[in-house]
This record gives sequence, C-alpha cells and structure tokens, in this order.
Amino acid sequence: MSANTVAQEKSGASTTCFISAIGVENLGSLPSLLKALAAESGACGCVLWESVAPPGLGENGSDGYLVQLGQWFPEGHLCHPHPPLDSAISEAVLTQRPVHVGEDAFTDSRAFADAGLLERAGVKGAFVVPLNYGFGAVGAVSFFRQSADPFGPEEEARVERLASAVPFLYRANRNEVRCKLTSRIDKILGRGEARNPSRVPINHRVKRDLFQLCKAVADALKCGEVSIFLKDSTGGESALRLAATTRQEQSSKSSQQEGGGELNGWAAGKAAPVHVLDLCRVGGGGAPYEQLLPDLGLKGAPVGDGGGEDGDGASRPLSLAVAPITAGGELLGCIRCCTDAKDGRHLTTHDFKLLEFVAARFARYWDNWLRECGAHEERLSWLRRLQDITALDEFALDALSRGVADAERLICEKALGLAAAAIKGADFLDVRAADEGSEAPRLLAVCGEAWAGADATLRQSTLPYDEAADAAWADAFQKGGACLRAGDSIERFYADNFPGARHVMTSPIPLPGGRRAVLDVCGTGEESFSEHDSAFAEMICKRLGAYGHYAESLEKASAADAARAEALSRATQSEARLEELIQIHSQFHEDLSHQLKSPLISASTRGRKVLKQVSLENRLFKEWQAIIGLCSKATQVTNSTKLFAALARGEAFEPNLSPLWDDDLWKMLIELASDSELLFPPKRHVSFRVSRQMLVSLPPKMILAEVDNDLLQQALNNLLDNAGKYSFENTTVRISASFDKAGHFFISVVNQGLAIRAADVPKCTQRRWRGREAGLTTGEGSGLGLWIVEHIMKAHGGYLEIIPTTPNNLTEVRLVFPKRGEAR
Amino acid sequence: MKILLVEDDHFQIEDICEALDDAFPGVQIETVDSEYEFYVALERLEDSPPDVIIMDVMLRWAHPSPAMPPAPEEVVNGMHYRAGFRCLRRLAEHKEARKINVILYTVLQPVDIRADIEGLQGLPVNVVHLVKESGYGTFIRAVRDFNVNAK
Repeated sequence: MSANTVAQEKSGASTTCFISAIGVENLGSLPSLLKALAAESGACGCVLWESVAPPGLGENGSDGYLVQLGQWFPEGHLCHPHPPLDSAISEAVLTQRPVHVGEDAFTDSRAFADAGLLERAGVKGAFVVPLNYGFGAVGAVSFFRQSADPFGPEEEARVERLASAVPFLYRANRNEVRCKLTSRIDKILGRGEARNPSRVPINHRVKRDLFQLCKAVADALKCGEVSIFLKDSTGGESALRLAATTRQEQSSKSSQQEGGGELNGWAAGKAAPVHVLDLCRVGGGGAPYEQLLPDLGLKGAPVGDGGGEDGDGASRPLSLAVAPITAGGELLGCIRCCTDAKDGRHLTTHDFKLLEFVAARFARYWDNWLRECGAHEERLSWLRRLQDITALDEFALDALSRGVADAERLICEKALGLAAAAIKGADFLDVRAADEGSEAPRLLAVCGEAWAGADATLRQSTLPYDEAADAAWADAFQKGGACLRAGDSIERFYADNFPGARHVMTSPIPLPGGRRAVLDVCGTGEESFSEHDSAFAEMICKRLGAYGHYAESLEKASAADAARAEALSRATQSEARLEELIQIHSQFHEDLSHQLKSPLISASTRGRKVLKQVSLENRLFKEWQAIIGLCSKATQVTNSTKLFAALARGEAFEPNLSPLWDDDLWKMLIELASDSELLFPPKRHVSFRVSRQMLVSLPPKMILAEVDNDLLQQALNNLLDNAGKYSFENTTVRISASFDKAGHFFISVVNQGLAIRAADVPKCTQRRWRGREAGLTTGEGSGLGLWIVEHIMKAHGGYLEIIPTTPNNLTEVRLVFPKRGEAR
Repeated sequence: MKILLVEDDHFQIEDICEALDDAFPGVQIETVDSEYEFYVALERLEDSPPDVIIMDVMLRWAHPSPAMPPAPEEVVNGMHYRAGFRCLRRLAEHKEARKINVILYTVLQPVDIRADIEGLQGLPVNVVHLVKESGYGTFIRAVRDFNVNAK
C-alpha cells in the first residue's frame, strides 16, 4: 500500500477534525495552513511543493522540476524557494512514497547556498509525503524536525493522514484566493465600466483602475510584479506598451517601453499564454535570459538553484507568467506576473489559471472601454464636423447676402476644405456642375495637392463627358446620395489624370432649377470611405444645394425689390404729377374765381342801380331782378370755387377780421334773403324772412363779433341756398341772430323741408356727402356747401351747429362765433 | 307744333320758352322739371305725343315734399347726373312715344357724355345732342330741322 493510498484510506475522522481545527478564517492564508499542519504534526516547519511540467520552451527548458508553493517556519523563510531536498522530494513524487531525510542533507553546501539557515534553526531531519492535488498536479509536503530520529510508524501514519488533507486544504485555499480576487477585480473594473468616457478625463481614471488591478493580482498571488501591457496603435505601428505595473522602479519611470517590445514577439505574435514557473532551472551555464528566452524580454541570467540576488543587489526572477488579453480574436495586450527571490515562492499552475481568468475578465472591460472611447471619439468628431458646417453656413450666407463676386466658387472651395479635413483618406476633391440643358460639366472648385499639381488647363477646361461620368452622375442622382466607385470602375477622367486615385465618392448636390452638380471625394489609400464619410459628404452637398436655393431667392427678392422700386418711382412720379395737377387746378379755380367775381359784382351793382330807377309796374323790373339774382348766384359759385381751391391745396383760411356791427348785419341779412328768394322758382313759393326781433332789443351800434365779411357772406349764402333747395313748397326760410346762454353770438337759419336725422348730423359736413333725399331733389350742387361753411367757422374760431330736424320738419343751422377777444 | 321741355332750371325754362315762342308762334310747350314728372308725363305721351322733346341731362328726381315719390334704385345710385339718359331709356320702352324726336340739350360737352351716347345705340329712339350756348339760334334751327324731317 502506498503512503498516498494509506492517507486516503485513513482520511477519516481525525482528518476532518484537523480541517475543522484549522478554521475557515485560515483557509485564505497558505502560511497559516502550513503552520497549523506543522503544529498538528509536531514538526518545526512545513513546506509545500508542486511538480511542474516544462512550459514548452524548447531545448532550453528542463524536463520537469519542483516549485515551492509555500513554507512556514517560526523563524520566517528558512527554506530557499528552490527545493533543498530535491532528490528526496523528487523521489517521493516519483515513487509516491514518503521519504525520510537525514541531517546530512542540510549540510551539503554544494546543493544549498543557504543551508546554514536550516542548520542554525536546529533542523535535523525531514519527512516528505507525496501529494496528489487532484487537478493533474502532483507534489509533496515536507515536515521538518529538530530531531535526527526519523518518525516512528505511528507517527508516520499520523503525519500521512494529516498530509492527505493538504490537497483539499490547498484547493480550498486557492478557491478562497480566487474568490477574493474575483470580488476585488469586479469592484475595480465595475467602477470603470460604469464610467462615462465622455465626462471624465479618461487616461487618469483608467490608469488608476489598471494599477489597482495589478495590485489586486499581486496581493492575491503574493508576487512582486504584476504588469499590464496594452496595444498602442498611435503613430501607425502597433506595439505593446506598459500601461501599469506594481514594480516600484518601473512605475516611477516615464518610459513604458521596457518589456513591451520583447513581449510583442511572444504574446502579441502568438497570442498564447506563457508560463515559466522556475526560471532558475532554465538553461544553464550563466547564459543571459535574452539568449535563453529571447521572447520574454528578461534581463540578466539564471543564477542556478540558489536564486537570490545578483551582484548589483537586484532580486533575480524566479517565475513568470504572461496571459494575453484578447477580445474577438484580437490581441489587446497582456498581463504579466513575476515572482523573485524576495517573494520567496514560485508561481503555480493555480496562479497561472487565475492570471488567465484575470486577463479574460480585463479583456472584457478593456474591449468595452475601447468601444466606448471609439463611440465618444466618433461623437466628438461629428461635433467638430457640425461646428464646421455651422461656420460654412455663416460664410456662405454672408458671401451671398453681400453679393461677393464669385461667391459660389468661394463657398464650394470652403466646403471642399471642410470635407478634406473631416473625411479620412480624402486626398483630392472637386465640385462639378452642369448648367441646365448642358451635358458637359465643368469644374467649379477643387481641393487637394493632386489638383495643385495638376495641369492648369485641366482645371479650367470643361470635363470630358463620357459614359462613366454619366453613370456616376446618374447613380448619384438616382440614389439621391453618395455613390462609391473603386478600382477600374472609377471615372476615366480620374483614372487618366490622377493615376493614384483608387476610390471616388460622388454625391449629388440638389441645386435649384435644372442645374446639376456633384461633389467628388477621391482617395489614393487602400481603405475606402466609411458610412460616416458618406453621410458627411451628403450633408455638405445638401448645404451647397440649400445655398443655391438661397441665392436664387435672393435674386428673386432683388428682382422684386427692383420692381417695387420701379413701382415706387412710378407712384412718386404720379404723386408729383397729381400734385402738379392739383396746383394747376387750384390756381385755375382761383384765377377763374377772381376773373368772374369782379364782372359779376359790377353787373350786380349796376343792376341794383338800374332797378332803383325802374318802377315796380314796369315789365323790366322783374327782368332786372332775375339778372341780379343770377349774378348773385354766380358770385356765390365763384366764391365757393376760390375757397375750395384753397382747401384743396391744404391751406387754412386766414380771415380778415373786422367788427360786425348790428345794423351792418341787419342790412347784410336783408340783402342776402332778398337775393336768395330770387334764385328759386316762384311757383314753389319759398320765401326768405329776416327776424330782427332780437337785434332791436340790443343797444344801438353794438359790435356782435369779429368776422371776415366776405367769408361770412359766403357761409350765409351756402346756408340759404341749402335751405331754399330743400324746403317744401309754400314755406318760409327764417333768418335770425341772437346770443346763446354762454354769450356766444350766432346767426340762425331755419327752414321747413327735408329732414336731417341726428345720425346724419356728423356726416353733413363731410366733403361731397348729401342725404339720400337731398340728393334726389336737386339737379345741381356738389355736396361741398356745409364742408366749406364749417371751415369758415373754424377759421373764425367758431363752429357750425346743425340741430336735427324736429317732428314738424323744422331744421335749424347756426353759425356760432366766439366771444370777442377769445382766441381763435 | 307741340314741344315737351324737360328742364329743371326755372330761369332757363323761361328763356327757352320765350325763344321757342318767338321762333314758332303758337307753339304749345309743356314743361316738366323733374325726372319723376317726366315718367308721369310719358303715360300721356302715348295718346298725345309732342313733335319734339327737349331734354336736359342733369335733372332732379323730384321737388322736396312731405310726400316725395320713392326713387328707384338706379336713381338713388346714379343721382341727377345722367337722369336725361334714364328718361330716354324709359322712353324707348313706349311703342308710340319712342318715335318722338329728342334733342338732348345740355351744358355737357360731347366728350363728357360719349359713353352714355354710345350706350343708347340699339335703342329705338331718335336723339340729337346739342350743347347749350348763350344764344338760341342754333337751338331753334335744330328744332326746326328736326320738326321738318319728322314730317
């Protein structure tokens, strides 16, 4: 029966008790486990080993070796990471039997550089029990004793039973470590994943996350160095650069090149994991790592089984593991873990699997982060493009509004400049346009070095219009968007004149009317244009089309302005002409009035003189009366004409005021009444009577008002004429004068005839307004009578008062004058 | 001779009547001084038509009166300015009366009433236009010629 079999059979109650005695809280600490194991077995120290297969490093690797997983001694680390009991442990592993080690083994200075440590600690012997860790790994556990005597059978059996629990405990320990590390990594990376890359400084926060990740791995694996290298494509060449490390001297350096380039050769080239669990066993003969493992980028040389420090005090590496960080088959970087003599342990298979897990977890984080950053960059890129478009808008609107010469070309050149800057791989660009009905497009604007170096005649000549060009245009306009052509299918014009052209993106510009134009973006690189590039080109084209529409609307508006200006000019001319005509008419009316008035007054005066000499019985008396009446009527008309001419010119009357004496008024009224009566057909029997009742009660020689005699006579004539025309047959028009309660002097004319309704009173003084019935009862008149009277009274500072008709058809109209001395 | 004078100015009525009386002794003159009165007189003209109608153009509809006859809409709208032409159109509706010769005797010049004259074309009325002047020689000759031609 092998020791292992015995251990398995005896792993009964005592083992379970031992596991319980350790306590769950100690499962996470390998030294604590070993300490408990030593105490339980009565050993003075305990060391755990694992047998490791070579990593496939070719001829430089050994066939297999042991690595130390952990040790516990009361005095600290006494046992070198390289097994001091190599042969005994190997024997135990290979034979799967326990092996006793005597005191001699510790005094063999050839094998151990630090054998003195064990000796000074009083170690006299050891008992090595082989182990099966259960995941394809085997190893051993060494129990050190301060007695040279070997274990007795019972003691051996007890120790073997204890040893049988070690694989379980070790796995539990590793699981505990893995759980803690997983939790810690999730916390670190989860915080980063929740971060919005558009709102925080990316580099600073991410670097902190990466360092914390390294630190977490280093703490879990008890190793001195954990480094993360990430792929960096800046500058065109892809390389792995150090992004974060727990190595003190490295993190303080600004350069991140160390290790990166070499690791490229291995991890980036093969995208495969690397683990060298015992670097000291690699090769030999003092050859440097650069020769032994050129892919790993390690410096220095293996120091043999002793490990420790080299001459300059630097700690020699013991083990190393590299796990690539990949997402979707693409290498994003790698994470490297390294232990050295100070760490006092080798990396194990467990550690390496844990590192692979961390790399996979981080790959997810980093891939997501890159995507977020890419989206953010895309957003920023579009934001810049939109800002450029806004600037283009301002430029175009300003140029078009100001009517800048050759604005269309300038705007197109500006747009091409924006497209060249925003579209990746846009090496040379142009805008071609064909006028309505033309099939030969011409270049409107060009951009790019290729055009700068092109023949000048090429830029100025009309482009050849071939089938390919036709197809490109047709495709673009039919699709209503950008069309991509590459290789042999690009237009002959570009193929002939620009040999480097490999891609041409043609986008239609929706110009108004029958004009057609396209934007061509040409690239010479291998990579074609993206959907975003197409979208941006289309956006620029739509803008150019909109500017075309705007320019057309400006032209229309300009034409409309010109038409308006012409119409305004015509209106102004017409107005001037009208003004001139009014002046001519007005002048004519005034001249006419003057020329008629003098002879009419003379005729009237002479007629009255003759009439005095003709007796009433004489037949001529009536004739002379009629002549005088006609002269009076004609005089009224000439006066009205004169006043109307002045009012038509917009002039106010300037009355020539003089005192109106009561007896003068009386005479005036009598004469006007008499003349008015003559103007109307006798058969209608309308008479005019002046009532002097009020006036005789006044003191003699009283001044009634300040008046312009001519204007007053004109106003009274108009009132009496209206009164006579609209009176019923057999009625009397009564004329009187008096003072109202306020002391204002007024002259009143009352007639009985057609009614003036209260609602019509305000209208009576409107120019050319006549009441419905009044307009039907006369074959003459212009509707200006009361309008002129009102102006005359306003000129006097008084007013015209029309009192609506009473039920018995009496209508009164008054000329009301201001008190003497009252301001007009 | 029998004449119907349609005129609303009483001074002119007196003068025209006197001139006609001097030129055509024994002439019978009936005067009408408003549009409404002409329409009333039209009914009589069917039975006793005058030889000539002398028609003014600008006529009042009626004299002011408490019982003024209501005016048709066209009179209200057109007022007195072209009353003579309305009278002529009404005259053309009467089979007998429309045969009477009419002299449009007005102060309006031909250019002022060209459109109105053209508007009479096609109407079965015999009309001449004569502008009022200070003397009546032309007027009397026109009346005489019209009367002779009518016979």
